[in-house]
Amino acid sequence: MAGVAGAKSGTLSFLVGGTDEEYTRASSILSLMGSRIIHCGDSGAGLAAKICNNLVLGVQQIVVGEAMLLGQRLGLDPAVLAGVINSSTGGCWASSVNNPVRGALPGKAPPCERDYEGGFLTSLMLKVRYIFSVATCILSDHIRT
Amino acid sequence: MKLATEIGSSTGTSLPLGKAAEEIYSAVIEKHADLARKDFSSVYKFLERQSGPK
Repeated sequence: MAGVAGAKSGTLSFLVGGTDEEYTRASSILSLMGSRIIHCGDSGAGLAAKICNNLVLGVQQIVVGEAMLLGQRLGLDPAVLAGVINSSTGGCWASSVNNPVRGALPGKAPPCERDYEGGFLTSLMLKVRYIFSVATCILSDHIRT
Repeated sequence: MKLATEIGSSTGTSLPLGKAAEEIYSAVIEKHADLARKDFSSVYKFLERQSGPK
């Protein structure tokens, strides 16, 4: 789990880049805040992995919305459809935790159940100018090679 | 998203779905200010609004 929800439940994942020594040193501190600490490679590799994961997430959240919309227009109950997707090959975080349709995840409380308040703001999906410049600096070695 | 697509460009990596997703989120932010301040799963509401009557 990530973001606000992950921080609250203490289940953050840390994607770490650096030498083995740096990773070991950081792990002792990071393990106090998260349950998974993954050494992704040299400095910059953690950021690279994060960017790739977010690419998957950004696309999946849209296509889950498309499928949930289409399914309802075909007469499917959202909870039934979500149950099918989440026990089948289409299941992903966007469908099983952050499903965008009210009532699709009985017993769970995704942002759609509170009119999409909280969670990760849409506007932040693109506002990455500052982060981009930092990321470019960090990744420049990787990009050149 | 933009982070991925811009780094995709600078590394010459083809990311057609990433680009399409970025354009969709851009449209949400530009044309639906109410959804820009919500969780990004509200892109579902955008799809609903884009859709014609049943």
